[in-house]
Parts: sequence; C-alpha cells; structure tokens
Amino acid sequence: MKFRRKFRVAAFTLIEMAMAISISLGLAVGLLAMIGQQIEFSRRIADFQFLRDEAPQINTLFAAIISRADSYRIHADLPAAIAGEPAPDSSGSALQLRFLQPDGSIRRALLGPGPNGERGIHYYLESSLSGFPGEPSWTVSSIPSAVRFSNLSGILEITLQDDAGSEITYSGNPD
Amino acid sequence: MTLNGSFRTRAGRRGFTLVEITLATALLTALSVILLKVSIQISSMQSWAAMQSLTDAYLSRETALASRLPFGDLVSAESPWPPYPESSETEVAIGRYPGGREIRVSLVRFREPDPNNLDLSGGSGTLLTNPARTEAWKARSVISYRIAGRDYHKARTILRVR
Repeated sequence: MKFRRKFRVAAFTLIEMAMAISISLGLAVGLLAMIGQQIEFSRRIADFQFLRDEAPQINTLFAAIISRADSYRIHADLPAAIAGEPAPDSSGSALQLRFLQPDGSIRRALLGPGPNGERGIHYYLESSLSGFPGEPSWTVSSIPSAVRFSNLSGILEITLQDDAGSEITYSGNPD
Repeated sequence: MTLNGSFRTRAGRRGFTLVEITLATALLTALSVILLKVSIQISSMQSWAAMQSLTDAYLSRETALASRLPFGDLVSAESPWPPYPESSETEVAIGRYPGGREIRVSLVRFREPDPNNLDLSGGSGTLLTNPARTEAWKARSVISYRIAGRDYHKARTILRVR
C-alpha cells in the first residue's frame, strides 16, 4: 500500500502528460514555423542582392564609361559587335563604344555577355595589336541574366534583369 | 498528514508547471515579436536601398533626355518640361522588384529660366547685363515615391544654354 501510494504521488496523471505533450508539440510547431519564416526571409534578402549591392556600382561604372565614349553602336550579339558589322541595330545584346584617341585614331571597346554567351555584362577593350581579347578585360557584373541595349528614344538605354525577376534600366549619352 | 503533504506537493508541482508553461510561451511570444520587428526593419531597409538604385537609374534617363533634346524643342509650347509654374505630372515605371513586381513613381517636370535671360525668354536681364543674348533654362525632373509610410522626393536639374 505504501509503495502504491508513493508511486501515485511521484507520477503524473494521463491528463497531465497529455497536456504537457500537446503544449510541447505546440511550442515545437511554433518554433518550426519561425525557422521557416526566417529561411524564407533570408531568401528574399538574397533576391534583393542585385538591386541593393550591384546596381549602384553598375550605375557609377556606366556613367563613367559612357560619358567618356565619343560614340556607340548597338549590335545584335557579341560576334557582330567584334566583327564591327556596318549596320547597327536599335536594340541588341552587345554595345560597341568608340573612343577618339589623341592621334585621331579610334579605339573600340565592347560591353556584352561572356565570350560563350555566359551571363553577366563584361567589358572588352580592343588592343591595337591583337584586336579584341578572347576573354573579357574585366567584368562589370556577373549577376544579370539578361542584358539589352537599345536606342528607341534618342538616348542609350541599358536594361539588366536577374534571375529573381528584378529589372533596372540605365541611360546615358556619350559626350 | 501524509496525504495532506502529498496533495500539497502535487498541487505545488502543478502550479510550478503552469508557471513554466506560461514563461515558455511568453518567452516564445517575445522572441517572435522581436524577430518580426527585425524582419520588418530589414525588409524596409531592403526596399529603401533597392529604391535608391531604381530611382538613380531612372533619373539618369531624365538627365540624358534633357541633355539630348534639341533646345528648340525644350522651349517650345509642346516641351516635355513646361515653363514654371506650369508642370507636367505623369506616373512612370522605373523597374521591377524581385518577383517581377513593377515599381511606379510620380514624375513631375518643369523648367525655370535663368534670371539673366532677356524678357522674351522669361528672365529680367537686359542688353546691358546680357549683351550676348544668351538663353539658359534649368530643366528639372522630380520623382516622388513612398516607402514604409514615408514620402521621398528626388530631383535632377539639367542646365541648357544657347
């Protein structure tokens, strides 16, 4: 009898255990929901990376590059721009910039995708000896998944898109 | 005596368990509220930073257009930058946020004459102060937008002279 009484005193009832388990489960579900929310939030922050971190730097770079150019031509793609095809387009994925040199000659540079159509926007500076390099001279940004140059309103417009669906358009005129 | 003691012990444990549960729930609720506030703050900062990029890029378009527009068109009756106090107000799309949501802002354009312009060109200058009859206009573009309940305005001024 003593043993039974002691045992009864030390143990929890079925209702107490059920309540404790259900509350614990509720807390666990709440924590899981919070963790899920944080993961989703982190993903959203990552989606903003292009507009938040890259876009301001690209704006500065484009302003510097385009204002120094003396003229530009838009080409359908990078090979057409490298070949310097005589008939430029009003929109395309490659831009040829022309810089007048002190001796009166023209030095060209290109803005466009990677040599094999890789994503991003890259800069190719023409060498007077070997022409355009096979690899970009440097990379403006490797994030954009689509780049479009156009001149439909009398000014140069550069539209960049990324995988998350962001889109931003820069404009400028050569001086 | 033994039964009374056992009853007190059990009642005390139940009471303590209730306090534990209440504390845990309160702690979790407080943590949720803090995380929610941090999330909202970070989200607002994200929107602010992204909006700066989009608006700066759009204003580069306004600068380029106002610089490229022929002077005669800038001062014509159909000018996109009407003479102040007139103004043109439109809603324009400046880009897209992640997910493809289009961002639209209000754009106001107007132009102001240089004070030394001759009378015909909106100024108060004379042939004594402006013998070369130069004509200068400031084309102004102002965009207005709202983030997290706050209103923002950003402007660019382009000086054109002939």
